[in-house]
Amino acid sequence: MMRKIFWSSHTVVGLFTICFGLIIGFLVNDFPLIQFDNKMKLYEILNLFLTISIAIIIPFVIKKTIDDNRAIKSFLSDEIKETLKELKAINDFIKSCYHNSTITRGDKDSIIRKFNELEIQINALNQQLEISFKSESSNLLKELKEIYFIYDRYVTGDELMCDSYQKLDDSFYRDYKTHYNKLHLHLKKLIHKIHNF
Amino acid sequence: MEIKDTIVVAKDFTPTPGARYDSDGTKFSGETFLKSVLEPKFTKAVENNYLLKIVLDGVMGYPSSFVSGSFGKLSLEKTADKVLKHIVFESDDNPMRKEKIIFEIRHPKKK
Repeated sequence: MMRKIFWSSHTVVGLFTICFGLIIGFLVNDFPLIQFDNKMKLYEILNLFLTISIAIIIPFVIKKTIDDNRAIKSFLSDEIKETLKELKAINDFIKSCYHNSTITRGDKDSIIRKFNELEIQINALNQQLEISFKSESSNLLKELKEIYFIYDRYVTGDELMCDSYQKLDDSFYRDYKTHYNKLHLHLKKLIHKIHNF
Repeated sequence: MEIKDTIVVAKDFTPTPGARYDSDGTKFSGETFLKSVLEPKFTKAVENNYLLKIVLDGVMGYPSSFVSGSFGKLSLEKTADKVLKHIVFESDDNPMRKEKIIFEIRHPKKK
């Protein structure tokens, strides 16, 4: 029991502190290796406080701000990647319809549902960008939405939705790819632009 | 302006909006929605100077053909400013729907 008390961390730290204090006192009194000047100038005091302030601000404020900013940007990049996944799901589906040389009413309804999912994802991205980078992202979001609306208009706005349209032809697919690539590229560029905010 | 009338698309028309025209083969076209639901209520809203609320939720999605055949056509006939003065949209499921329809009203496709 006595041994346990003697060797506890509190006892060791206490002893160490006393020894350290004795050594410092011994050095300062008997061997004045360090000489203190009791007179200090005002700018030296200010300098001291400034140094202490910088030492505190850099790790606690600036570094924290940089880390938080980086985390938000990384999170937004992930949101864009999710949007790209939804877009890819539409593209894969249309691609399979084109290669199968057939498109049914059920396929068209699936396309409408997938567009709805993509819209929900774009909306999520939009709302999150507005929280963190409202002014920086407003033009980018406006541009993204316009490109999306034109893409949506091309796919679900014309002949594809008619019951008589039962096969994706080459001309449709070629123009479709142009619209798809434009939106796809725009989303990828957005990742880089967000990191430059 | 006060909201005095409401259209719930899923309930008052269909939860599965279709193509642009009846002749496109789908049952619930934008043309039918315009003629049977939207235009009569919109005309009343304009005549009596009130707002018409359109609830967009509960629908599987809005193909552009439907949006263009209904809201786009109404905009071409009555002007975008007039349409947006008397119609407000609501969508909790997918707020992008509102923007998509407003985009179509402001930039209607002539067809």
